[in-house]
Amino acid sequence: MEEIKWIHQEGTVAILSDLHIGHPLSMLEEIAEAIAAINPDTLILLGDTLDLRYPVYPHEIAAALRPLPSLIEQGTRLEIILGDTDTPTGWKTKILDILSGLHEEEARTRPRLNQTLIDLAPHLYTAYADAQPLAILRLRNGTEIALTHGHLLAETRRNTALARKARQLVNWLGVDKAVLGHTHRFYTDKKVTILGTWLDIDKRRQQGYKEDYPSLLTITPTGLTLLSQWAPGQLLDGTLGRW
Amino acid sequence: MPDELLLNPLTFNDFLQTALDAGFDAAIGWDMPVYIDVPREESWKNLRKSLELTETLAEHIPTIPLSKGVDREQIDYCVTTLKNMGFSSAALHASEYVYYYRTDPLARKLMHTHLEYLTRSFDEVLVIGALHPIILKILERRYTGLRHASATWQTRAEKLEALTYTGFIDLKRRDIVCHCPACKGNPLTMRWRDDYRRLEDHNLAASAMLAHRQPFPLRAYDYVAQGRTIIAADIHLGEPGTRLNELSNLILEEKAKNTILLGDTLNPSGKIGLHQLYSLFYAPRMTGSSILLLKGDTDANPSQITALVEKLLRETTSTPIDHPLHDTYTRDALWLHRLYRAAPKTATVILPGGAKAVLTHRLADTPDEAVRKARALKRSRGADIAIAAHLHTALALPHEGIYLLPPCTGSQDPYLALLVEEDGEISLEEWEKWKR
Repeated sequence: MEEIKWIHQEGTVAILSDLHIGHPLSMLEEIAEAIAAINPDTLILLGDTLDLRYPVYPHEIAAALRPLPSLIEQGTRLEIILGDTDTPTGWKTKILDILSGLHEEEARTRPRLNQTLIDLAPHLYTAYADAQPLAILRLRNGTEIALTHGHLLAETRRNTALARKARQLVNWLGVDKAVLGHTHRFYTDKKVTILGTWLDIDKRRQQGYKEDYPSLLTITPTGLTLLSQWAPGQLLDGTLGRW
Repeated sequence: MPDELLLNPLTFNDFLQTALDAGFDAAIGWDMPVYIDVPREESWKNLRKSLELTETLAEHIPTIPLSKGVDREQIDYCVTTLKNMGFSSAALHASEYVYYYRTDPLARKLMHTHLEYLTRSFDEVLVIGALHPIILKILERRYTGLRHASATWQTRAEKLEALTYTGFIDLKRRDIVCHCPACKGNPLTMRWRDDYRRLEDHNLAASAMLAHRQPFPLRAYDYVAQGRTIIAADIHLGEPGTRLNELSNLILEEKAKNTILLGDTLNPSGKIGLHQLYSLFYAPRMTGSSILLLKGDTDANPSQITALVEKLLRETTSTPIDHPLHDTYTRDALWLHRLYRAAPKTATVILPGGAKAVLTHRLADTPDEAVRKARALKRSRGADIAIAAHLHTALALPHEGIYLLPPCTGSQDPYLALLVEEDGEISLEEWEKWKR
């Protein structure tokens, strides 16, 4: 862990993890719908936002993060936590390659990329450049939440192992809770919440993966924290619990 | 054809009707998505459907069925079923396997498993899309009696790549001149990627040449400049005294279609903000000029360039999205990244008029030494012209085809840049002429 970044709550906070944009099964449309439905003042993407193990195309980023330019224009802050699929060797250059359309267009001509991407690119790249693997979110009511993707905490992808490590992190940092991703399986207890993934779970289950439907965490300005599930086509507010 | 269309029953009916109405002699069996990344149950369903539809097709028109399958079990099932249906020949769509042949062991294994089963079971086996010279050699060594059809992507507009004897030419960074009967020695660059007719003609002609074992016709260059071209060097953006205004005037007035920036274009540790970058790209943006950028001395460090692009994008974030220049600033910053990522140290370029030029920023630190090295470079690259910069002194030896570029900075040299006319005439442009 290099440095801990502090994020202070401004309005409604939404935390989504494991978008895996670029993975063939990433649910780009659903991600866009969920972000638009929450309309957050701070959007925190909790690691594995881009899946640089696969060729990521600019239009995929534009499709998944479509609502962001207008949200940013209205003052929404974008914060990114680094995950494992975001940060292979040379990841900054790789992200710039994608955003500049280097794999799509001839390098010598001026970028013809679509408007959403052009509006989004500086903000997304800057959020990545400022990103750390660990951050602490300080809510208005004083609650402090450790945010980390989880790949640096536990070697296995089992929730029990990751939750145990996350509890240690909570104690070590002296914060109240921790929110993680990485395992693609939802888990919550008094101290730790692990969010699910935005991959197409039906297809992933057919492939033999035991993963859960997308889940997300929203924190209202009053400090009410809802753990919600994204069922096909709709946001099920608070169905997974509340703090 | 996209998978959605293959899976749509109406497409099959349309295909069959078209084949019958147009009076085709035969058809290839119906393809379905049986890929490694399709869930297993799905791929079995699609395989069975493909066999059913192939049988239906064969009832109406002579059909060469396709071998499908993503493992030995599926391939065995498919080939045995086709054999039991009474087919005496079968085909394999090999283009994807060929594309990944060098990098993916599974692709190699699958292609050979298909061909093993096919050659064992059928009198005639048609391989579609394997007209890659190296793959052909491998197949000829291992199997007898294969027939070949089509190379589906001699030049692929979609992936911006061209097939050669040794692999692929990345057309995002390089241009090609093609000597096939369709192209007749003309450049085939992705700046005309939307000219599908031209690409199709090239693909067919190049495939025919391969099928007849003729030498493959592509030559790759770093750039093929068509139309008026400006070659400038040593702009040193970020340092005081740059002659960027004069260069922009020259590009705009001459309506240059190509701009070649021969090194030391910027100094990443100098003062470069969005406005400076805006000025650098202003003229090429207005004329729609393409830029070939070569690395020099001050701009040779990729991490410094990445840091500069990051700084520029950060500046862009403080510009509101609806600001009239937000779009331009962002595109310029991303263009800068692209140009440097694709920038060579030395480039071989076909200039307007057809002369082959070799360009590099730094040859030597004295003019005499630079001329001597330019002669050697020209000879070693088989070029007609050698162009270098770095010395901040203009020198033209037209009879020898050697040019040392003036700098676009400072005030000690009376010249500004090299202008290459459409007919290939080269002239040194005077700085005073473009001063406004």
